[in-house]
Amino acid sequence: LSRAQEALRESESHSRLIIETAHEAFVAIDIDGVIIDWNRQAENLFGWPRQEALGRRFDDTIVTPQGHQAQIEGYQHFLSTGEGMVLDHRLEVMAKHRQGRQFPVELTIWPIQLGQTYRFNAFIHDISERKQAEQMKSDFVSFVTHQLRTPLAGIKWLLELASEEEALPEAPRSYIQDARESADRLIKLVNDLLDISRLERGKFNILPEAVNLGELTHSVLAEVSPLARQKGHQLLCTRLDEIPAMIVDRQLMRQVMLNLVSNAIKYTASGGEISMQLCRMGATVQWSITDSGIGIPKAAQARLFEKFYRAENGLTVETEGTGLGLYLVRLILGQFGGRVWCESEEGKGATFLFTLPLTE
Amino acid sequence: MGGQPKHILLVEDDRFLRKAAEATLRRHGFAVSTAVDGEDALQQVQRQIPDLILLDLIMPKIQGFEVLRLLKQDPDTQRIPVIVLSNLGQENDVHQALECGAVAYFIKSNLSLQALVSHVQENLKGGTT
Repeated sequence: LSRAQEALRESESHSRLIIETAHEAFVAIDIDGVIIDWNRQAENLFGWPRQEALGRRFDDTIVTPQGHQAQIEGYQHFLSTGEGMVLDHRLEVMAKHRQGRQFPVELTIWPIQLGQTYRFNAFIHDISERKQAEQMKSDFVSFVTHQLRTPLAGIKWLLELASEEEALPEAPRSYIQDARESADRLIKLVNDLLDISRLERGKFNILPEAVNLGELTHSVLAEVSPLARQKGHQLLCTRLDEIPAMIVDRQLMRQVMLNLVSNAIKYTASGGEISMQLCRMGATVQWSITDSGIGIPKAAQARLFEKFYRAENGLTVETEGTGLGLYLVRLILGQFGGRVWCESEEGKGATFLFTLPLTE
Repeated sequence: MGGQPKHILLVEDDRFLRKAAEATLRRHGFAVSTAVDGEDALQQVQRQIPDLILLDLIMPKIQGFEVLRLLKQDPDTQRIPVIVLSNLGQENDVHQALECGAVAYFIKSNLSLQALVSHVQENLKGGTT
């Protein structure tokens, strides 16, 4: 018997040790809500030494005033039904330190039946840091919007003003021109990052409207034609099927086409040929652009639409890319049930295609 | 442009943006006064009604949305065309501003001064004064 008692005592002290060394606060209460266990981490987290915490009411000790009602209701619900809203899953609530400071915690509570009565065991940990990080992530987006764009607009505008000075010598004039291009690149990068972050978080307010893809293609073509001329490219539409208006976001679709067309211009050596097609194929619309550029190695094709990915051979031609453009294209098309891919052989040009379901 | 130069009130808390926009508008023959925050803007409008207002949104004291609302509530000022120049680009900001009665909304970093001038000229052609 004494050996059994010995074994029991050993097992108890072992359990005690586990509880005492846990990284989480451990709190147990009885059926009346009185604290009956309180580990070292609970002492640290809530500021109550074990000796003082034991015997106190749980709700007066660590539950915030706002949490009282919910706690009482949950408790009564459990007593009458045997089910608990907080039992068996993780719950995020605000807790209270002895000094009155409130902080977010995650807790799991489960009941243990002891004959006619219950006790409740809870593991609790502080999630202040995680909450802060989540907040920072969403704050960052608005930070980028306002705090980065304001000085960027300052740079852009003052450089524009400087470039209008008449008596400017050739060298400073070219420096100013280069600085303007850099500023515009940075602004585009900020815009892309912002769009991506909002699309990823589902925070983008899409404005669907009836859009004629043929007209949109022509307007994008008109927009990029100065750039195409500069590089001596021939840029044309070779096929434009009659397509009913699509219900999409005009700005976003414009961005998709613009990204694909500017890629074709960038990655094709001077004097190339670039053609666009818009075809109706059953219940889908297919838009494509074919260039006579450097092409894309097979291995890179699958990864081309990943965030920040850039194909090896692209890096040697164009160092300014960010690896965001095609990712953004994919994100946008995904919003409208579309798909994008590319067909290419290295050195033999590339075709980028996207499809959208017809919305009739 | 003959006659009196048109009077633009430029409301912008960032001094570099204010400097650049003011210089450009003056070059194009506009009379420009500047306000550094919403309160300043409303006081200036009380003293003299401008032909057009360029309005920033995030500013000290009184924010741009509030300035816009107050301007549109007052019969004396509700006809002044207001172009919002902001760096908030969320669709709901744009909608809210247009719904409050702004004639146009631009994101500053995406707008050239040249384009700014043509938007100002275009909105003055309407001739609400």
